[in-house]
Amino acid sequence: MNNLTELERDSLCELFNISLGGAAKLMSEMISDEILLTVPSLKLISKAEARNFENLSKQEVCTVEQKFVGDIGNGSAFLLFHKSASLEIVKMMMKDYVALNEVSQFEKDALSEIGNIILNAILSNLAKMSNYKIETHIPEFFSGKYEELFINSTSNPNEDNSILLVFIDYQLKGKEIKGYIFFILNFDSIKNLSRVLIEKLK
Amino acid sequence: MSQKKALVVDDSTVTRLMIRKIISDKHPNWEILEAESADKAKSILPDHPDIDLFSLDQNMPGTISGLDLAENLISNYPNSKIVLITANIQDAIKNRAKDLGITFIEKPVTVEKIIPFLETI
Repeated sequence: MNNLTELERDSLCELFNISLGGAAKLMSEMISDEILLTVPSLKLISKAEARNFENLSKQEVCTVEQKFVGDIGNGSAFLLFHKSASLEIVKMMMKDYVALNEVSQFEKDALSEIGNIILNAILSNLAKMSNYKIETHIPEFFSGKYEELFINSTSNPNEDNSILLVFIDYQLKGKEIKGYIFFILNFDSIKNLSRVLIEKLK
Repeated sequence: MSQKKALVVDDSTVTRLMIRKIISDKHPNWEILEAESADKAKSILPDHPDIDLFSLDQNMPGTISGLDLAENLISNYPNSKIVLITANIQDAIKNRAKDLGITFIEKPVTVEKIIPFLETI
C-alpha cells in the first residue's frame, strides 16, 4: 500500500481537522445539539480495507455522496450514518418545522441536505486552504448495505490499492448516534494535496 | 399596502419548507411560490412579473445555477431583492454574488441569518 511521510500525513490531518471543525459547527446548528469529534485524526486505507471498516460491511447505512472535480482530481466525499440513527437526526433537524408524525417523509431529503451542507463546507475549506478550484455536483443519497457502496465505484478490483479513504468519526453528545465522513480520492491526488499544503506552510 | 410575493428556488424540499416558514412567520400575508430548480423558476416567471423577493440555491439539477438565474433576474426584476442561500461557500461563489450585488447567506438556513435580509424589503 502507498504511504505518506509523517509531514504529509500531518499536513492532511490539520487540513481535515480544521475543515471538520467547521462542519461540526454547522451540523450542531442544524440539529441544535453538540457534536463530538471522537477521532480527530485521519486514516488512509485501501478500498479493500474500507469494505470491512469497523465491521460496517453488513450493516444498513444511509449515505450522502458529494462527487467533486477540479485541481485536486476527481473524487467523492461521503457522510455516513447508521440507518437506525438517520430518522433520529431528521427529527432533531425538523422538529421546529413539521409535526413528529410527518418527519419520516422528509428523511431522504433532509439527510441529503445535511450532507450537502456538511460536505460542501469541508470541500470549500479544502479549496480555500489549498488554493484549488473544486466543482461539486448535486449530492446523491444512498440507503442500503454499507458494502454495496463500493460496488459501483470500483470498476477494476485491481485498482484497490490506488484508492484511499479518509475516515473521520463524529458523535452526537449524549446520544447513541455515530457517523462518519470519508473521502475517496486517488492516492496521487492526496499526496499532491499534502505537498501543496506543506509548501504553503513553508 | 399591497401583498408582497416571494419565490423560493431550491432543490431541497426541506430547505424550501424552512425558508417558507421563516418568511411566513415574519410576513404572514406574503404569497410564497416555490420551484425545485432554476429551470422550473424560469418557466413560471412569465406568470409572475411582480415578485419582490427571490431566494435562490446555487447548485441545483438542471441547466442553470442559482447565480446564472440571478443574472437574468437582475435585468428583468430591477426592483426586487435577491438572496443566494447555498452550501457552496467557496470564495468564487461568494465573490460572484458580491459582484452581482446579491446577498449571500450560508446554509443551514436559520431565522437569525434571514431576518436581517427580510427587514430590508
